[in-house]
Amino acid sequence: MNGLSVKRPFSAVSDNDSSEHRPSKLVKRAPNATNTVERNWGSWFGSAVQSFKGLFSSPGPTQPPMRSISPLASHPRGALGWIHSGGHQVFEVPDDGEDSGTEALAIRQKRDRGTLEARQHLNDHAARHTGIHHNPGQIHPNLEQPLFSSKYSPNFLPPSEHVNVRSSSTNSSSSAAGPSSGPSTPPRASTRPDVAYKKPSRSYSWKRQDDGSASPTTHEAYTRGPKQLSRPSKSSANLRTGRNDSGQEKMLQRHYVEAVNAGDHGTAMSLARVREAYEQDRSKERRDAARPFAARVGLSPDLRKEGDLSLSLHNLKLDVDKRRLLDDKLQGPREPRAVPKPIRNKRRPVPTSLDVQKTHVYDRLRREDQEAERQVKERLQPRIPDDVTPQQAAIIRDRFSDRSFAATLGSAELSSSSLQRLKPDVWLNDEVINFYVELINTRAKDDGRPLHCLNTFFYEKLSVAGYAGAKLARWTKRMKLDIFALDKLLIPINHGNSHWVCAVINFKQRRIEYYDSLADSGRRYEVFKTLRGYLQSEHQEKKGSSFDLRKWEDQFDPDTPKQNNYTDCGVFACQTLESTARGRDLVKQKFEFDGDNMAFFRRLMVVEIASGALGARPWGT
Amino acid sequence: MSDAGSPSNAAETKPKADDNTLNIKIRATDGSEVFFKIKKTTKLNKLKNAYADRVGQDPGAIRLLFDGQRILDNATADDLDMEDGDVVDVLLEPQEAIVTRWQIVSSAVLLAS
Repeated sequence: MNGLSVKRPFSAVSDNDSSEHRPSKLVKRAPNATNTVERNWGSWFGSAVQSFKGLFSSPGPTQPPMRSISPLASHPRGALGWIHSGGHQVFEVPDDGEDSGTEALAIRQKRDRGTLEARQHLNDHAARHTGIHHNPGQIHPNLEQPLFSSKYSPNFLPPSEHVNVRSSSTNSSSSAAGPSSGPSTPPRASTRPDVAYKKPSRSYSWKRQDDGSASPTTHEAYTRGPKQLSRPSKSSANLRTGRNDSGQEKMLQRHYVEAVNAGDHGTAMSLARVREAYEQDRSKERRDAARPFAARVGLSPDLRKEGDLSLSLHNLKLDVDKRRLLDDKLQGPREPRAVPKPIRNKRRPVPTSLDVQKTHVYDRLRREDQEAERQVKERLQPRIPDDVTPQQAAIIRDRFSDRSFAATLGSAELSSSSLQRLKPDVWLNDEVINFYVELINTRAKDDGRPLHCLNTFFYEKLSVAGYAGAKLARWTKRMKLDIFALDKLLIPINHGNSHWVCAVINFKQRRIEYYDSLADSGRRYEVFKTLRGYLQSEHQEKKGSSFDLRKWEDQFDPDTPKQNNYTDCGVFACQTLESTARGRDLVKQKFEFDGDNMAFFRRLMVVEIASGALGARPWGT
Repeated sequence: MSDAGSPSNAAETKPKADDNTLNIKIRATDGSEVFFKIKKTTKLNKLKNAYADRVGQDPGAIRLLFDGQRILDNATADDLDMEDGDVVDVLLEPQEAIVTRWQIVSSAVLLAS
C-alpha cells in the first residue's frame, strides 16, 4: 500500500514502476493519489454515523455490530444491503497479467499520433493559405523571429536583418497570393534604417499607415515584418479611448511565439486570427471616433469620409477668413486689442529701519493681544449672582418679618406692607418705586452726577392734568431743579395702574428713551409726545423761550430684555433707572440683566431699602 | 366754581381769625376739590385721614402731594412751608391690576386695528 501513496508523473510511469501496483488487489482510480487507508477509515466513520442514524430513526431492523475491522474485506454487511457511504469507489480489477504501464504508453502514443495528424493537417492548411511550406517540427525561416516583437521586446533584431527577412517574405507572399494582396510596399525600413534606435515618437497619426491596400489579411499579418506589426499596439485609437490593450497583445504575442517555437502552427494561426480581430476592432474605433468630431464642428453628422471632413473644415476656415476680410472692409482696420497690464500685488514697503512698532506684524500682534485681554476681562467680569449673600438674606428675613417696618428717605415713605411686595410674584406699588427713586437721587447727589429721577406722580399728573393744570412749574421750583442743566432726567411711568415702565430724557444725546419690559404696547408714542410737550412748556416757563426739539429723537428698542411674568415690571423699571443713573448707556450697551435676574434683584432691593443706600454692582461697568 | 373766590376769601378771613391755621385745598386728579382748615403744627396724616373719611377711601391708599413732593405722615405745614390757600394734590395708590394675558392680547389687537 505504500507505493500507492507516492505521486509520480504520468510520463514517468513505466513497466518497472507499474510492478509496484501488482501486490494490491485493488487499483485505485481516483484522480488524486491520496492514501487509501485514510479514505477507508473515513468510510468506516461514515458508516458508523449511518448506523447511528438508523438506530434512532428506525429501530425495527437489527443493526449490524460496529466492530468491523476493514470495509475492504468482503463482509456480510454488504449482503445485508448496508450502503457504503463516503463517496469513494472501489473497483476490483481482474489480475489478467497485462501491464497497465504499457497501456498508458499506448494511450499516450495514440494521443501523440493524433496530435501529429492534426498538426500535419493544420500545416497543410496553413501552407495552402500562406504559401509557406515547411516540415513539421521545423520552424520556417521567416518565423524564426517573433512576429510580434517590438523594439522593446528582449529578442529584438536590428533592422538590417529585418529588411532581409521582410523583403523575402514580401516577395514570397506576393508571388504566392498573387493579385489578391495589394501592391507591395517599398521596404520602409530601408528608407529609415535607424528608426529603431531613435527615441520613439509620441505623435501618432490616427490614419492608417496604409499602402493603398485594404485591411490586412491574415496572411499579411502573418508575413509582415515585426516593426509594422508592433506599430498598432500604440495606435492613437488606443490613446484616445484610454483602453490599454498592450497587456493582452503582449500575452498574445508570447503565446504566438511559443506556439511557433513548438511548431504548433494551428495555434499560431488562430492567434494570428485573434490579432486580426484586434486590428479590425481598432480600425472600427478609429472610424467611430471621427463622427463626434464632425458633429462638434457643426458639420454634417453623417460625415464619414476623412476627405469630406477635411474639405469641410477647409471651407469653414475660408468662410471665417472671408468674414474677417468683410469686417475689416466695413469697419476699417481693427484696433489692436489692449493688452491688460499684469496685475501686480501691492507690496508692503520694506522697513528700512528696525522700527518694530510700525510693522504690520506688530499691529496684528497688538490687536490679538487686545482681543485676548478683552476676552479675559469678559470672562473675569463678575456676573449677577443667583442670590444675595447669607448676611443679606438674614437682613431680608428680618425686615420681612418686621410688621412695623417703615422707612423714610427724602420725600419717600415705605411701609411694611409695601415692602412685602418685594416678595416674589407681587406687583410693586408706587411706594417702592418712589423709595427707589430717592435712593437713586441720593446716590446721584453723593456722586455729583447731574441727573435727577422724578417720582411716579410726575407723569401721572402730567398726563392727566397737563403742565399748567398740574402746576408742574412749581415742582421744579420747589426742588430748585433746572432740568436743562442735567444730563439725564429719569421718569418712572405707570401705565393704567397695571404696568411700570420708565423713560429717560437724555439731554446730552438729545433723545427720549423709553424702556418697556413687556410686549411693545403703543403707549410709547403718547409718552414721547407728552414728554416733548413737557420739555417745551418747562423751557418756555423757566427760560422764556421755546425749546428746540427738532434734533431730538425718540429712542425705543423692542429687543430689550423682557420679564418672565406679569409682576416683575416694577423691578425692571427700577433696575433700568438704576443702570441708567449709574451711567450705562442702554442704547449702545446691552442690558446687564434679564428676566431671570429679577428674583435676585427683588431681594437686593429689600437690602438696599433696608440699608437706605444702593449697593455696589460689581457686574456693571 | 368757587376756585377763584375761595383763596382770596380765605386770605382775607383766616389770618384775621388765627395766624396759626391754614386753608388747604385738596384737589384730586378728577378735578374735585375739598377744603380743609388745619393748624400749621398739625401732623399732616390727620389731613390725610380726614380726606380719606370724606371720600371713603383707605388712608393707606392715599398719596398727598405738595409741589410734587409726597407729604409724609409726620410732616407739618410748617415743615413744608405751606401757605394759606395752597393746593395739595391727592393721588390714589395704583391698585394692583393684574395684567393678564388677555389684556396683552387685546391691547395688541387694538394696536393692530
